[in-house]
Amino acid sequence: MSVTLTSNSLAIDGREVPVYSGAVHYWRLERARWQLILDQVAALGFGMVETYIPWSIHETAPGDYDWGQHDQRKDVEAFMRLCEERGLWLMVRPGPLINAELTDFGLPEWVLLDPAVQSRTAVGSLHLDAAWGLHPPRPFPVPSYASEAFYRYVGGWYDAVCPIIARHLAPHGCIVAVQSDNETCYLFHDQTYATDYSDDSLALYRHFLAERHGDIAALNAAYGSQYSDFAEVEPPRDCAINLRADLAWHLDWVTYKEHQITWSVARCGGMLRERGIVGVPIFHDIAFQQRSPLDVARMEADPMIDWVGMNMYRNKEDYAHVVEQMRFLAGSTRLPFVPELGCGIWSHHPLTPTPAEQELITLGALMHGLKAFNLYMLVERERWQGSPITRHGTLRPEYAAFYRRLTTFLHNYQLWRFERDRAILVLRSYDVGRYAAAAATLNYAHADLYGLPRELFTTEIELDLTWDALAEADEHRDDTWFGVLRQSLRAGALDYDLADTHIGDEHLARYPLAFLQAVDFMELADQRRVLDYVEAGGTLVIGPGLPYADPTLKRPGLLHRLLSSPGTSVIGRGRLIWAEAAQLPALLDALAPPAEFRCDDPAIDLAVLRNAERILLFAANPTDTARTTSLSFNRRRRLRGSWGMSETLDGDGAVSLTIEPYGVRIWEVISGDDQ
Amino acid sequence: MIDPDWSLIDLDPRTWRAIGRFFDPSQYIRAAQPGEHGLFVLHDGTRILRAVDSQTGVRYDLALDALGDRQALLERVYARGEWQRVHLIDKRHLAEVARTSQAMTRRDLTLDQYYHMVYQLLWNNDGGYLCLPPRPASWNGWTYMGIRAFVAQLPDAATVALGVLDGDELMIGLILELRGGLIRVVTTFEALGEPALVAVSSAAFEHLWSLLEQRSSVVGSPPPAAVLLCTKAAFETWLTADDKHAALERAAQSGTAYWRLQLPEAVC
Repeated sequence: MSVTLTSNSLAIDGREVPVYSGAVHYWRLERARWQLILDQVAALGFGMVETYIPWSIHETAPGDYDWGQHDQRKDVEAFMRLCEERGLWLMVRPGPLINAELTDFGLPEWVLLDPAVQSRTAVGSLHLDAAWGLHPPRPFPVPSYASEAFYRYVGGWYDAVCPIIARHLAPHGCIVAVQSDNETCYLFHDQTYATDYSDDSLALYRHFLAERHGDIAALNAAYGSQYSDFAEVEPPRDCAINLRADLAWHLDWVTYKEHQITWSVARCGGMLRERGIVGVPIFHDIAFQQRSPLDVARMEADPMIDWVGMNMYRNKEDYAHVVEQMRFLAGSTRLPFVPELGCGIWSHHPLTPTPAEQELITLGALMHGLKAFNLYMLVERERWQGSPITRHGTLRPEYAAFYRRLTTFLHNYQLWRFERDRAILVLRSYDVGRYAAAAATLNYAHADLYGLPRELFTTEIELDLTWDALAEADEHRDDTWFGVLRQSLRAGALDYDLADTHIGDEHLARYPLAFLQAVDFMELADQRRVLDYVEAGGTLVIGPGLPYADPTLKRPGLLHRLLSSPGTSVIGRGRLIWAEAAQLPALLDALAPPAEFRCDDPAIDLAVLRNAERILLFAANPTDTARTTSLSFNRRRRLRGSWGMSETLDGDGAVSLTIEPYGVRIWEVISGDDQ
Repeated sequence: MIDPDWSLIDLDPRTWRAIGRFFDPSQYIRAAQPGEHGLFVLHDGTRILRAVDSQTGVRYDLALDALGDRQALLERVYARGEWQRVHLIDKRHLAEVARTSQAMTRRDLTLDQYYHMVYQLLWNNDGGYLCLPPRPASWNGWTYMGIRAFVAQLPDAATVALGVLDGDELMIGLILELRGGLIRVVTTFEALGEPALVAVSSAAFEHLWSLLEQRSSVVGSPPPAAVLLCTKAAFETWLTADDKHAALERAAQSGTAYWRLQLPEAVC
């Protein structure tokens, strides 16, 4: 491959290229302004741009393509050449779906109107996209990602667009990465029993069941059913779990939906590869979901998908979500990437970010592991606002100033080479997420519009479990094992990464200490993997339960054989520690290396990044009041301001500092010996 | 009212931040009001499935086993005095709203028509969604039909503009271009190419009007037909007043609002 992923950047013909990119939608900009706009992008310090290549914009009638012959703004190849002339790298996203606030989301109308393409909901209707938070100016029927007719249409589009992309692939051309589809997840109608119940989807579901169970007798044994053929199996259309015996049927549907998404993204990726998109990574962007039906670890493990990122549009009040998402990407993916990092916002969003908010969110993401990003949108366009560069090529000074400072900072420090100080991995139980997904209800279109409390969207399930799986799945709670763990880590100023039980062996092996959320059940393969981790020398703290079964509660587990009650067992070269929530603070004190820097104000969020001997200390104040606090450390230190102030702090064991509301400060840490 | 291919361009971020609170269609549909303490009882026509208190979560202590007469149940629960509003929701009704709204024929609806349809499906029913006190009849006195009536009286091609100043800073500078009753273009005062307004005054209003006329002659946008320039306080009062016209008249008398409606002669 000419372009490969490293843990920090792209390697293009062996040359390290950080992924600091900005989105530019050529077809929405006056052709005469393209050069000016790209020059502005470069002047702001960006060496890479990104664009969608929207299907419906170019294929104006079935088989008729406008690549600039009729509308100069559609001459995407001219846009690529302009990038090449300027030495700008380019990422492209040819769909099939793109959204981009386009009416019909970039899908041609004749494709959408083909009944063989359309998905169906659990209540027997079409699935229109005007549901669950999407407010397009015209409702459209959402395609089924299991529809063979849809893939035939997509093949025609890819036949047309891929040769253009292929002519400009790096290293000879500018294109360094290509995205397969976009935010594939039923257009946010991702609730378990919402969709997709189309004929093609049900056929894929039954094929999935056949692969999973092998033969119908095995399925009958799992379900307690008497089917004679997989073709007879109907999926659940709402949660109806009354007995343990009902679990397998529901969990299979939950798992099928994960499969459908990954299969679809991989299929589009394979179609791109077949059409000459080779030598560059194929990536996918997840909208925001960290649990079922998205399975980040398994998606990235698919050979057709090289790289998975997750988009991020957050306001300052969402700072905690930013931190969590970055920890998850750092713990779960090859190169932590946000393919759409909010830079401005779509026109129907309720809260336009201010420049100060964009600074907090962007720096907050960088301090918690963000390595690669694409600012969406660096250049404003219709149905978008708050970008640093307008569609006319002028700057919005209040926004542009931050991004100019940012790129200067990133390149001066070569920030992509820095690594966070963290030795701890926190593992969510993927099966707990599946269990919660199986318990979903009220998955009807527009139920999000009625102001209903979230507890109304969960079904009461009484299966006499030892541990409360639905409570553990609720990450709004602080009184669960997982909630107590996160509070304890925060109290100890201990940085960590986040992943789930589908993590790959190599990822897991990077951490000497892992905390694993577990209840009565866990996939047997995952139990085996964490046990291998312990045997190889890892320390695994597990709780609140020790799984005694697989997720269907039918097959016995592995881990419960090792301990009969909370305590410690030495296994191979490592330790398995079953701990109750109340024990977690003490365990962290005993097992985790103490934080090198601490604030006496717990509201201040700290992160330490290192590149060899060079150390950067980040401090964020994600509150609405200025905070004055004492920063303590273990010896004499000088902190040279790198962001937020220029003066140097000097202290023996501690310094006092003040951080403005929603502000971020960065210092380069200079050891006492260097003074 | 909203053209499916509408263009939203040159949106100044300050204006957009100030008007973003109006975008969520949920606020025009739901009965539950922000911050309100409510009880939500979900049933399937026979059984109570779940009761959720908006402050404390699932309630198991209410002894709501039998559904019986829905209105009587609603009144009995509300009479406990614990909640500002009690909702009694038939799950089958929500499924029916989803099923009926998600049909191919709905593709012909504009965005506003679509959500109005959802509103009607939700509330024009026989007991599918009951609440006590009843849902608000309007959003702060504004109704969909009232806004449609306002748009209908405008000239076929019309520019509508709103300027709101917070002190001497422009908080909202919004321009809508309508043709044939559809909003085709949305932009902001940024598109006028002039420094922002710094005062609410008769002169500022006339200046704004003339800028909109100039824009019409230069770029072919519709001529101005309805323009309101006011202070933030006048705007907020107008938004929530029962008598919108009277609120504007009072603001005009105090020099905090200026407006002009240039309607076709038949309407005048």
